Amino acid sequence: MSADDAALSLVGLTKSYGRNVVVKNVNLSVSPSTIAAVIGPNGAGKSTLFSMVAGQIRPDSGQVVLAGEDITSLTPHARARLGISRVFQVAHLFGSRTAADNIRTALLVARRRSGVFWRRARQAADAAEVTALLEQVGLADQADRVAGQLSQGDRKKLEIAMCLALSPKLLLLDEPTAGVPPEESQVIAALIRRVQRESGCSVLITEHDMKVVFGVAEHVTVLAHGAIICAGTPDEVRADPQVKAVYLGER
Amino acid sequence: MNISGTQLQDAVGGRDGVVASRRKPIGLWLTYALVAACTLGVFVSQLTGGSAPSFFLELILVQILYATSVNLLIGYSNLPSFGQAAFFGSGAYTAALVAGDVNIFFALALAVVVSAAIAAALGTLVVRTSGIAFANITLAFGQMLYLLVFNTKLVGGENGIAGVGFRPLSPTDFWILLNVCVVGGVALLWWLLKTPFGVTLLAIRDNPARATALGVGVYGFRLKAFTIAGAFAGLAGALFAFSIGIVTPDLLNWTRSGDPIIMSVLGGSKFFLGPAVGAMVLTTLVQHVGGSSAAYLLYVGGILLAILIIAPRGLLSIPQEIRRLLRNRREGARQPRIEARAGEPV
Repeated sequence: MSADDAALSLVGLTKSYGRNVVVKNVNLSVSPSTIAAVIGPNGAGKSTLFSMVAGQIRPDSGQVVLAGEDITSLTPHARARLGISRVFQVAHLFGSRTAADNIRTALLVARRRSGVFWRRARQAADAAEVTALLEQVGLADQADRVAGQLSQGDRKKLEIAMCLALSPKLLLLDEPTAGVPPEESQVIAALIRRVQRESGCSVLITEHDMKVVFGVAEHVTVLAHGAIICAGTPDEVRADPQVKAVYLGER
Repeated sequence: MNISGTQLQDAVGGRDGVVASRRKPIGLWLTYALVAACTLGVFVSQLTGGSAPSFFLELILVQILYATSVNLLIGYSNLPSFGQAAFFGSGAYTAALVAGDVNIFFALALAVVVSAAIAAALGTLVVRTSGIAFANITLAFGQMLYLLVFNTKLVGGENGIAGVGFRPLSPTDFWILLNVCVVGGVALLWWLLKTPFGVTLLAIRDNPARATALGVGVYGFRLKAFTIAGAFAGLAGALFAFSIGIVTPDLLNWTRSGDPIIMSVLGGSKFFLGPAVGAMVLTTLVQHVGGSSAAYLLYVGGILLAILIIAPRGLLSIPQEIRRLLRNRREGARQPRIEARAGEPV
């Protein structure tokens, strides 16, 4: 698959801090409308890689290409406008506002109405759309709760719904089940699959929970010490002796 | 982060939230009613009494507008500016410089435009930071402007400009204009926070990283907020100049930047009307406490300290503090008192 066909391709991405090379010449591509995962032990460079895709960190060299367009030099908010939505490892919400307010804010941004100052926010955003998004992630009954009060699982769901409000081309999920109790991890995994199906977006995910990764991802890339050691279908990766040694074997 | 529901609602009281609007505490409504009644009472007595409006009442109104505009930055944007006197002073000096040549309406408009322009220019540099760094850099720029004015003979140097008159208005007409400007300005700022622009500002305050990841240009929003706050500070400054009739460099000094911050904290910076209440209380205290004693600020400081120990989130939070105490006492009978104050919202 050429770089132009891929929803996202990373070409020779490298980042180092001082002498410490965190991400080493990583090439990776995500096919349109699929779920791809990056796994690796702690300190493998997953989060750095993610931040380079979302734009919080600039790579030393290499390119980030979104649907054929080189976005390496763009700011995070410019990338967001091009269709990259990120869910953070620790849920980032507007903590003093209600769940519905959070979604409404995201919708206003998505509709390019966040700068409007001549209408009330409630009238500028479609209430039905807010409800629909909350329902999509199963938070309809939490609409009026302040986001800072929600459970960890619900916080993640709310953040996913905020990302969906942007109708993203590429959804980045950084450890979506981190800090979430095991029984809720499966709920979130199912949610990710359903959301991908319904929206048709591409998903790139990092995850510690192997059950979640192998249940969700169609393509898995394994990072160790900043470099790719293996990539393929979940079955191929599971069978790879090097992966077993470096990562799965450690568990 | 352990934040209880009531505390969060307290913290965000007086804003456009689903929960807040439904459960807005009755105490807050009473305060609003009281503020409205005071304003109206003063207004009516001025119109019917026939006596000339006192400078003290005019000062309170000016401070209400000034403090409310500053709180757009402190309370709603996480941009604690310690240099708003630069814009208050710019407005005052602009008005003073043109007062002899043009009518007051044009002078006020020009003051707004000039202070907004200065705020926009400074803003391009300073809003790249937030929090403490922002406080420092705004303080620095504010003092630079102060020294510039202090040392510029063209604008009167350290003597300033005297004889600023509000031609062609009578004192009563000016009092009406002052009321219209202050009530109108505060209402505009209130409206702004209800709009998508205001909601996005609150979102940026809560979580800039999330806002950026959604595609919000945080820098642009902060710059606009800074410019708007500067414009309203400028309007307040110009009104002050007309009210007192003289402008001096100390209008730009850092103490004048500190006043609205103290007022916001005193009234409650998380309440929209907090700064207004703080402005009334602080201005009254400074005017009446200590009499002719040179140590009046010592007494004022002591009173402020006492108020903030009782109500750390400002005067408008007192009804909530009382309810919390009553609730704790009720529950305290059944279970040990724990974490009553845990998780102050940040």
